[in-house]
Amino acid sequence: MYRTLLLCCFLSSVLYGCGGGGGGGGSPAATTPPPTTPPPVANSDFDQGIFANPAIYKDLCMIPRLGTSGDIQGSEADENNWLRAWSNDLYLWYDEIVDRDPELSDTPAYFELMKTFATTPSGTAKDQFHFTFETEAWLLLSQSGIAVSYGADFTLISATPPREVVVAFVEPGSPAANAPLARGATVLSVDGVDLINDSSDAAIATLNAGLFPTVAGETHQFVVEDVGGVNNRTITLIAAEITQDPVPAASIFNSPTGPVGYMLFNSHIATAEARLLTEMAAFEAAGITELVLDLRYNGGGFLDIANELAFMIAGPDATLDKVFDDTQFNDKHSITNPVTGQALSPDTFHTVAQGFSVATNTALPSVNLSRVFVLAGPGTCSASEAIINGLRGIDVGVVLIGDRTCGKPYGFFPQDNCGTTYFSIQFRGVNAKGFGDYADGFVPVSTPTQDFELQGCSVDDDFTQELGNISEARFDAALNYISSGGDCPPQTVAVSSATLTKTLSIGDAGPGLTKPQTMPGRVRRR
Amino acid sequence: MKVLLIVLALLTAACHTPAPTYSIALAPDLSIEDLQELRQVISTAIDRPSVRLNQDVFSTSHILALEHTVGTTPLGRIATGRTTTKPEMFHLLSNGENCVLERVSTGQRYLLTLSCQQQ
Repeated sequence: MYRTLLLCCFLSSVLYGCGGGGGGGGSPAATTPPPTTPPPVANSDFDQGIFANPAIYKDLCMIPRLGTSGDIQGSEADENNWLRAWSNDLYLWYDEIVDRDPELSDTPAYFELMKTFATTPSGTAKDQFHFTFETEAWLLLSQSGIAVSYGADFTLISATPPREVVVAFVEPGSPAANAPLARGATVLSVDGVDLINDSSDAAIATLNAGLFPTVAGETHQFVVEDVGGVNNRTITLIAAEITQDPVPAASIFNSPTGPVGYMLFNSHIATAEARLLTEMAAFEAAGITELVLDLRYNGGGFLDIANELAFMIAGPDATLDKVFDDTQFNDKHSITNPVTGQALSPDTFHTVAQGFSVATNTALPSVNLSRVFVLAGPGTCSASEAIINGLRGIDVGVVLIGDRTCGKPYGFFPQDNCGTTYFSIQFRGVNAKGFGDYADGFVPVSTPTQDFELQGCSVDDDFTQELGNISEARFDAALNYISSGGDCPPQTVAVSSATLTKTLSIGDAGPGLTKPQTMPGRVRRR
Repeated sequence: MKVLLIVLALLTAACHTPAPTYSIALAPDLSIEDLQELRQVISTAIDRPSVRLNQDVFSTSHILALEHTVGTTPLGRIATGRTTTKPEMFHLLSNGENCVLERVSTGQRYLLTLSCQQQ
């Protein structure tokens, strides 16, 4: 049903790659966002504004799961009552939910109403992170960094025919790398289907199946055009269980002003801790004077890892006893985390490893920088934005090169009820200055006037160069900024994600490519 | 008599010999059967139907972190993009004779039949 819905909305769910360890397996189960116009409240005898303890309705299921402890025979109204009470208790903007009779909607539709329909200053939906997974799929676990994939991340340049899908990143040593396939290659067809123009349901299904394999061993044919290529070529890609390197590139560039470190950081998965320690230790040993941190495709992950990296950038003096991130729930829960029961207290900067992939309490290296260059774009999200926000909170300069980030200072504790795992925004994070209002993302500008605007340069993603190449436009812009003392390259007018609003416009584009709940190897919106 | 006393002393000493302690271990050459054993032990420990593991698990690190296989929202964002909790984690340990898998969150240890190398 999920795929059918999305087939009707071309590229309406162009998906950013998942930074967490994940791969094929588990049925795609996340629901699509509902229409933004809420239905009218019907006359009913339910007690509007009166909310019970959600525990009363928890696990009362219309269809109890066989063999699942806890599920009790209930009704759809019971499930909706649980959603109503749970949302009122924990939803960050609970007072913006229009209270509706639980008996008037089916459960999926009712859940879609249990959120705010307010918009941000840019006019986009305030809550873009309201969804579900089938619990059975959500509970599937994989070794950190393992996924079924070709090892290629795809970026969507054009959402409507003529479509343009470009390879954004290729995992070294992966089937895609061995094909060979490289960043910047344009995908022309998949299994004989014209990716550029064909919008039939059957074509969309074929394209999705080919672009996003779910089973190791799946084989699909691609016709691609390489960067600068004149001729097309056909390659065969075979999906495999591949291991993602969350830090696939790191280098040191000897600039006139001193050694500059570059690090491509793609995902805050558990294995990133060890990789970050290794590379930052090398930077420390080299005495880098500037750092270019490439987060353009990093959709987030573990906040603790973001915390550790921020410490490694700023160093012990700048971070001593300082807050990296403070989790804030709604005003009903200012003392205690309502999910874990732990006392709420701000997270200070970590000075030692937390044990994700190196021994707990391993000392973290640091480069003690007073500013960092972050290469960013719409794929820079969540924990990646927390790095930006956390450093700004302690007055470490962050120069943003690229494009507006995704705008997600929010998080949730997923909750299962009756076989569905619900994700409803429950908290937001603020930095040491109490700032966390970047729902429209962080934006690079020449002269910041708003708190979410950062000094920097607007630069399109450059698919003609490998990431980490000093000629790649964003990296080049950062190096030029360093050497010139703050100059930016002329802004390009060609397709820029800065001109695209958040996904609201994609829904009008017609049927298109969708992405199952796997990663890496995902169609992105540029 | 002296010999008897000496023997008695040795026997007593043996009874009080401390068991070898467990420390971190690696398992660089896992067979298919070894991998299946790990999957079974972990699945049972965390009460999940299955877990996906790679052949290289525990080859270079004694730490295993498990993360959600599915993970993106309908709009393509990572569902776990701002995770404040730790993942399910296991450590491979050995006392030189036995290999055990320790579930970090509970401290519970599970004896394994596969071979591993104490580090």
